[in-house]
Amino acid sequence: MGRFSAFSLAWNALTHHQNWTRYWQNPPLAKKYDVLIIGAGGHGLACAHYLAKNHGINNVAVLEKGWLGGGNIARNTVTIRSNYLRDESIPFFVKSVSLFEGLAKDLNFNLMYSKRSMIDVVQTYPKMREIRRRMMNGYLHGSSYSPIDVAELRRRVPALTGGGPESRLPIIGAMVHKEAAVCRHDGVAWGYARSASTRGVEIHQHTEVKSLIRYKSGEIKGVETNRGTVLANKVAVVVSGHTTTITDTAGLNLPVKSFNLAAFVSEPVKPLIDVIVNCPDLGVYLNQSDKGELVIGGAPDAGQSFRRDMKQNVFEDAVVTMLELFPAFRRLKLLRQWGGVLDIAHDATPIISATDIPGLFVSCGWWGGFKAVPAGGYTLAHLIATRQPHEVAAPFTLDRFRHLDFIVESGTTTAR
Amino acid sequence: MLSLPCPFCGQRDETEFLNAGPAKSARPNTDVTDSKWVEWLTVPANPIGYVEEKWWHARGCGKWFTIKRHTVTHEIKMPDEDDE
Repeated sequence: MGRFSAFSLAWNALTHHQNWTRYWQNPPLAKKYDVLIIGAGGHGLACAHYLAKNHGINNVAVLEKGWLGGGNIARNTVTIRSNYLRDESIPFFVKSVSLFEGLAKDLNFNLMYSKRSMIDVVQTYPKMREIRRRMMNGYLHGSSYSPIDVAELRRRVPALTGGGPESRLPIIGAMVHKEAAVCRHDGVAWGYARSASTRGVEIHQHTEVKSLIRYKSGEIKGVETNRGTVLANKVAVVVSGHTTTITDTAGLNLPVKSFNLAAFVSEPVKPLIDVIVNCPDLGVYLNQSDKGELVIGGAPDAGQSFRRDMKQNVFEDAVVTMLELFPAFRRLKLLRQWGGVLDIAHDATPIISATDIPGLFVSCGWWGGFKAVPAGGYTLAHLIATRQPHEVAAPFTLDRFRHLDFIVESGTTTAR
Repeated sequence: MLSLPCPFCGQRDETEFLNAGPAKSARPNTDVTDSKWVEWLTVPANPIGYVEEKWWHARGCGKWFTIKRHTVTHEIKMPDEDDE
């Protein structure tokens, strides 16, 4: 695998781009591996990369039902942030944000990482109180979150012309999270896949896991796929919204529910907004992509769902609330919409944990898990390799449910 | 948008209702084990199929009711109907 550099770009340009090596190999599926990772999405591929890089475990296969990076890593709004509420959560997301900062170099892959701040627009006093609490906890754990007044907010986001004193919910203040960033989401999946494949990890696309197989003694034995049985003593389920679909086949009950969360983009326009704007009281958030499209996300569909489209009334809610604050966007045409299946745990906090089935690990409950991809993969790899949780992910085990010791996290969802 | 069968008002648009989450089975007796209690408390059914859920006609008559809804097709049935 050649490294990307100015020299390799020039050389391949001179040879008419005929000699680039493939990002990842397609070896035949073996009968047995040391570790199986179900799901070639952000978290699964990151885990494969860190297993090989940090722990020297490369007899690993990543099994993917569809195509690599086709799940939620392809369906998010690319927001990277660490402004969470709880002592247990903030250090984890601070770690993730710091891994993201060095990720392009680590993977030798241009992720178009752009640090650009997130501004929360606050319109109610209960939200202001909650967000101030997050600010103070952020200070304790190294995640910056600082208040600005309405005049400063309007100076930094000129397109924000709604929410004046006459409106239904006047803006009363705002909060800036400086570490927030965006980056090329597909690049994260491709970069991790390329790096993992270079280190000997196998990635098998179109390999659907039908069920988990256990020994009579209870330990995990392997998985049944549409391409036959594959054995491994360690199996990690990293499939976001479809976690229970897989774990149900082994009789394992997990405290997660799946929901549909959707987003849409406008036509490309000139540079207009250079930060991520989040409006928690209205339940809408947006940023502008490098192409100029506004990427807009709203609230989830209310009931459990495994759909990947966007419900019309959810879409209308998001548009109507956005227009309250950005009336000029009325003239924008919308180009695309999409949805993904996410899972959320009983206490709205992620789960990276061993399970009651020895050898079976799960990483789920991420809700919007894009920001957590590096740290999620890093700590899951640590858990699989050492069977001990990494210190920043130690609070996220299933034990907390056993003892009803919930980490009720309000920072999980951007909106509401 | 869903059209939900309110037992009092009949078929109404989803926007009049609030989803109140999965309908739980009856609360276990006090002689239940800790693990069964935790399971009852925290583990919902999450199938690709029908879920039983509660809805509240909050912007209507205020009635609470339970339906079965398919998590992919959104098809709605009464709780006593078969899943097929």
